[in-house]
Amino acid sequence: MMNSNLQSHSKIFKIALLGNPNSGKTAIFNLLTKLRHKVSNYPGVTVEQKMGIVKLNNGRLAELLDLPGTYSLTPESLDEKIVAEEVTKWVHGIHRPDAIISVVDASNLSRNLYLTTQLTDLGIPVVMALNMMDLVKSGTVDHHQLSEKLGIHAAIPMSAKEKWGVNHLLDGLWKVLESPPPDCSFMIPLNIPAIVSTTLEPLTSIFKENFQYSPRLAVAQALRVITRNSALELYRKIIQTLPGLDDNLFEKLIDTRGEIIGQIESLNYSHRILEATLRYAMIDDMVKSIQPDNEKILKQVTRSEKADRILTHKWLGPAIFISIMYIIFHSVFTLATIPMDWIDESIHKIGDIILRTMGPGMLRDLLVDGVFGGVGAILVFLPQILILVFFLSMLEDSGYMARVAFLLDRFMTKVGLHGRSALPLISGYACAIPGIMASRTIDSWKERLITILILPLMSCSARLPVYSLLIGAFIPAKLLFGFISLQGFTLVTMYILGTVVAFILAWIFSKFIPIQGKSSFVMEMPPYRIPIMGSVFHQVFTRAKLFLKNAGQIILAISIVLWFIASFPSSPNSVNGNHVEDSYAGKIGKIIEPVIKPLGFDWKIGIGLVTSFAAREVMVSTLATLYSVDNGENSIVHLSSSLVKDINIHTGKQRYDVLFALSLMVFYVFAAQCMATFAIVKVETNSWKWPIFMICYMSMLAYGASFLVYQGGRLLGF
Amino acid sequence: MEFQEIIALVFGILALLFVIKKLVLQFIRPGSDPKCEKCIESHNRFSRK
Repeated sequence: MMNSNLQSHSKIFKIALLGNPNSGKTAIFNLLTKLRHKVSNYPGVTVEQKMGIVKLNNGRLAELLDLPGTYSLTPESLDEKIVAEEVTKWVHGIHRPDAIISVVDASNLSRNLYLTTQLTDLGIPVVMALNMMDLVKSGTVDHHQLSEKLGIHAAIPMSAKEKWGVNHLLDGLWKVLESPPPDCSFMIPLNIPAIVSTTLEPLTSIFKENFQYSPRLAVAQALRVITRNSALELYRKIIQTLPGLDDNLFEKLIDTRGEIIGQIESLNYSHRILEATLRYAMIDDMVKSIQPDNEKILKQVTRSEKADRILTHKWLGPAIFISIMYIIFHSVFTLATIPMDWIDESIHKIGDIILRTMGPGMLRDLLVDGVFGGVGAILVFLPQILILVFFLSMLEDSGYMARVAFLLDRFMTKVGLHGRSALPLISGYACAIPGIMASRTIDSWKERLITILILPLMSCSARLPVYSLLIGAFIPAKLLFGFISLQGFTLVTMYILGTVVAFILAWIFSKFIPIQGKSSFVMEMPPYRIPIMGSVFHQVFTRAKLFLKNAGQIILAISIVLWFIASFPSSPNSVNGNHVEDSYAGKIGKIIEPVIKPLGFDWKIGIGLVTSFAAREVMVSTLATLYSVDNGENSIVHLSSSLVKDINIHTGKQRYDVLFALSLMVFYVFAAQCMATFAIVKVETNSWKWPIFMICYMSMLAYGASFLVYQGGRLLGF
Repeated sequence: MEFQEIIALVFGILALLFVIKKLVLQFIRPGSDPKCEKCIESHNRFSRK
């Protein structure tokens, strides 16, 4: 007895968190686990399972599994498939949780209850987190009646945003875990017509006899399986995995499903919407009794809807979107000036201190020219990257991104993409990798693949230091039409160039990629809200950490290696002290030079292009290291002025000019350089074919475009 | 060899080994990149059959 008590006490409970997209699931997950996963006001932010540990109110620990948001257990997109597969496993006793937290958006009860009613069929205790109660007038939802009518164990009103109700949720959970109800197999509350019930009988019998489902679950699964083929497909793996099942069972399920669909259609019911029709009839009745004001609420025009009349207007909407993006990219260039100068000065001061305190020698030169010269040059651009991430996070958290997806859907469809491609593509302005992962919310494989293929063309934040360096050095700081900064305009042009070419290529790919498949665009418009600054700053902090980690690891290591190969063999007799040209680095650059000369690049840029394969921003630290080593004065150089003043000793002319800067920027817009991106494309497409194709097309595009800019410019006399 | 040269060479060798390790890992274990730490996990779930 004592032993069994000990065993039960040491058991770690498993709890699953499920809910509609944008119902605040991840916010609740963070509150319960004290973790800081990304939350956002956009449906589909969670695209993979996350695990955390919850401390229950009595001190016991439980594992909490956060699954991607889904509207139902019938899988449509890839992230919904994860949920449906996981739930099907639970039904068969694999990784079955002890309880489910069903997260429901209280301000949108009818739609959110659909999933909850499906979860109640599983026979697993359900506790409802009635979230977003801060958006609902007090007393408008009778949560006691709601839990009673649904047959769930508790419905806990709460607000993850205002951080209240969490303790009640933990209490409710503990009650269910401590004394689980003996039997959850009560009869299905759906009002199914007798004739439909009889028609479904052969399928329900298969589920009852072969899988030992309860009558309620058997009916629910029969309804789901006839709705979508994807629901039936879930059983293929289950039948292969579970022992003792007839190998022909899947074929039997297919045949029976086909027959029943025919009969259902002959009864003038549509098999595709049968489950939805029956469930919504039940939910509507329920909501009427627990939320009498529901009709009135539905008829009210919310502030969000009023705002949408302008922000999603046919003409005004796109104009506002373009203006917002322009302001963001322009601000990145202008707002960051002061913190950038401050970082630059600090790095130079540290360099001076090292020069004053250390005796002359190889280590001092390495620290000043390689470490602080190289890494310092890249750290200067941190404020620009953080400002960009700050604005993008603000947009996402405000709910505006869902409107952008809606606005762009028609255009996206024309070029072979999908409305849901909008967020991954805009995320690509910060970094392509999370963008590629976010493309999982796109149902059709073809549309998802095209999104992945064009995503690296959206200029990521790693290109920003390269653009900023070249613009700052070569583009005059003057105003166009008296109010548009030419430097800011050039930066925006680089972003637009990448985006426009990405759309053109998407259209071309859609014509040549033979995979069939198009998905419809259904997306929830979340209400606008003031962004949660904690969440926004958390994202900015995460990006800063990643940038500094990169700078402190790979960029530092490359700068050190580069310092060595740029400093040796030392040639005291080199002309004008330009000994880098005679060094190993110079020799490598000279080998590459003939290939890149038509683009206006020389051996120094050649070295930068090679090191950029580790990370694009390494181009800046590479040039900084080369100029620092070349500089005989033993101090950290100002990179942009070094670029402008660099004279080619062989020709006596300025080495770099505006045309070179434009050519190099265009090269960076299109070039395939980020290894991490190709690694994730390989992972997400499960094939080498697509990353290799991506490297090939991007490299050809970069070379061709850069060649056109440089040679075209020269022909025109620039 | 001077003290500064020895330390600088140690840094150089360590940096070179780090760069090589990063490059090799990138190809043989794509998920090892900190930017896509979830790659392997998600790969298992999202593999297209």
